[in-house]
Amino acid sequence: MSRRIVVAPVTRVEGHLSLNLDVADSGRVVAAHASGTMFRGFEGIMLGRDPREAIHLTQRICGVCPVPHARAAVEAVERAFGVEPPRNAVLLRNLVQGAGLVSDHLLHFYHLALLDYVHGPSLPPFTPAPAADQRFSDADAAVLAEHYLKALEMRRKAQEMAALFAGKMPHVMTFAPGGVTQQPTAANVAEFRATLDDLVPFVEGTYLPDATRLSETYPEYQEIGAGPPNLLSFDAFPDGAGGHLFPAGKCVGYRRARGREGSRDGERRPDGRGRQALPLTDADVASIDESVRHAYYGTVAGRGGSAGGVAQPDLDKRGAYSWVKAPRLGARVFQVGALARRIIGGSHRGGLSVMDRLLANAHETVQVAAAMRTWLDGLSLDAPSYRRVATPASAGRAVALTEAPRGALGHWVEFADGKVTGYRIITPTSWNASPRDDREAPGPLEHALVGVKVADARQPVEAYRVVHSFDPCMGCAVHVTVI
Amino acid sequence: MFTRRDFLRWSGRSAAALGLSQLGLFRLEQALAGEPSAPLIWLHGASCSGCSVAALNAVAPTTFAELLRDRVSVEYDGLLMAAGADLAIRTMDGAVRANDGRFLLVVEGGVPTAAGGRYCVIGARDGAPVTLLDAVKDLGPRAARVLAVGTCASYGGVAAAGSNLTGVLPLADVLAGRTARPVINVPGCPAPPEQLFRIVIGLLAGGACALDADGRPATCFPHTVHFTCPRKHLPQAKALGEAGCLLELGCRGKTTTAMCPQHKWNNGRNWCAAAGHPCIGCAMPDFPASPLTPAVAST
Repeated sequence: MSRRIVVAPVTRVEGHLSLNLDVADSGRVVAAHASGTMFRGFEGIMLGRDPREAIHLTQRICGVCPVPHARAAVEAVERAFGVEPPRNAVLLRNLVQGAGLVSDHLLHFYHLALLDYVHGPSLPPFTPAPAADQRFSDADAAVLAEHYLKALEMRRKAQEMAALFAGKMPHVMTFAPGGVTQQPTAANVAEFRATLDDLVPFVEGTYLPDATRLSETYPEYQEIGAGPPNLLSFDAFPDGAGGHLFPAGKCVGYRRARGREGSRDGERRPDGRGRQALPLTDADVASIDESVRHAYYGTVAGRGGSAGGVAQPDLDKRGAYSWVKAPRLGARVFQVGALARRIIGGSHRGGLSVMDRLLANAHETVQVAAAMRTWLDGLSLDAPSYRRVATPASAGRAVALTEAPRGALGHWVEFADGKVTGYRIITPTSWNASPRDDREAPGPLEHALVGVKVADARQPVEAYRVVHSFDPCMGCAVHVTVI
Repeated sequence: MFTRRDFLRWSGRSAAALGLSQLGLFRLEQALAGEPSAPLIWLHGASCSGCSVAALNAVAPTTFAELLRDRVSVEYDGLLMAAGADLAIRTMDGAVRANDGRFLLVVEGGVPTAAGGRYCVIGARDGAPVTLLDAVKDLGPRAARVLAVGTCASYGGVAAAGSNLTGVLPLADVLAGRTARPVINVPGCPAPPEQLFRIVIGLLAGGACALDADGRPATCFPHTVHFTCPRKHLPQAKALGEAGCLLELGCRGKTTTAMCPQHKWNNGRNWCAAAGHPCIGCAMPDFPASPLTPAVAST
């Protein structure tokens, strides 16, 4: 026998998420349904508009991670126009996107995830708190509370860095077809570098050690919350010479090494079965489709690899329980995010779990902060960062893929007579928080929750830990295919 | 860190900016000396959480952390609160009961009204869905003041653009005739955190917060962007990124009421025109107008 727990709302996520957990008498979750509970109905906003406006409008899908939307939108339009941005622009976009990623991972760890393990100061909104198993001493909890506050300041500084080249944050103003309208100067480069010098010691000396300590303090979460063993990453952060900081790839049937020896990040060796990342082909991308079987939409939304397909909402659809659609690649479920990126990039050979996800974010923050120095050094103050597009194409279609902090992001655009005729976006949280698909396969978050043992059904903090490890962004997930 | 003493010093300096008389300032000092923090409830609707992110970016007149510690008791905020699920909703209910008529209600995002509000469900009470529409209709009349934070809550914004099939309405329309005092609009995409916190602090100090025709605090939105733009006397720029006036490239600065040239964004780091891009009018009732920047679309 099992009973159903309604977890609504799941707090400390961007947007609106709820869970239905079917819990057995033993307290174990036997089935989970994740629901995106807000629909904005963007249909018709982009249709009929100049494709360049997607750069501004699609960012409004998410104020937490607007930069990857701005970048995917501008690169899709550039591709359709046949425009190549100057090298400075590529690096400036990397710097804005990199600073956004650092800001976002800090917000996620300290402000969204950490309160699942440590009680904050005894004032609202930190009280009341779920009566979770608290394993840190009062002294350690006080230190983490200080780090919570320090991280607020650090993520704010990362946003300020991004604004130096973005104009403002959130919502980038400077990405335009042809480049970045903010030229690098001695002053803004120096200020970016000085702020980065403030950030790096915190990321390396506080964030990564705190994440490591959390993992050691809650070791069972190195096993809990694996999710499906398929991982996907697009490529992101081009170096301007054909390479990327994050390479594209997919991994099907990933397996962790057995035994305690292999339980630490990077120390394991692959057992050779499905562990190798495969290249991501155009056919793979074309095979991405979105199931709406259990989503509140009346018509099939996705057509493989194209921008078209209008999804009409249907609030009373039988069997539907989420506004999130279920993207699948080759009909398979994939999880996306920093852990997927690090496995595909060859820097993580460990497991899939709550703690592996939190640690992957922390390691990646260190990696991106270091890469930002290289991109800064590569800027040329004398070279242009923007070149006007004299004759924009009036018709075209293109796709642009990148990585948001939470995972793979794709924008598909089609336009004719200078007006958008189709615009499709598939976000990371659409992958991770997707509902069941045409084959009844659960989404990654739903999959990861099965088997989790919940001590207090009214305050299922164990489930929160799994959910927060994915850092869901529901505003992104429920953006609608055509906007 | 910011202390209560600093706050008093700041308020003394800014009594005029807050719209406070000397008597008001005296009352503020009294309030700070004895009273517990003012309760605040922050609801997310059809939003992107960008206004929350912007609020976390603020430094002046206060940071969010300082406001939390010294002045405001954030009883409900889905993005930051520790509690979830039933505990979160019960916390909100308890805070409303305990502070009936005394709490500040902040709504970020549009309010979908079609299909009885079912397009935005913010949680569940006893297993039944609670829509944002239910929540604002319930809480709005019981709040001391209601703030519509961001262009979506103020005017519909991106959430209401296009065919608006979820029936997003401005918060003030949803609550028309239901609140003791008019809804305060703090438009902008995102809402400028300097203005937001200035307004909140002013309200806590007992300021009346006079509103203009668009429901904005008049003292916070006194000019167009163009009026104070340092570029307005420069020659016209011929391309984005050039150091000239961006009017001929479609800049909406002449028709957009906002303080961007003065406070800029991200604590003075940069702002749109300084970064070479025309104003897109993100604080205006018609945002996102089509075309966003008229001249660009016509090139």
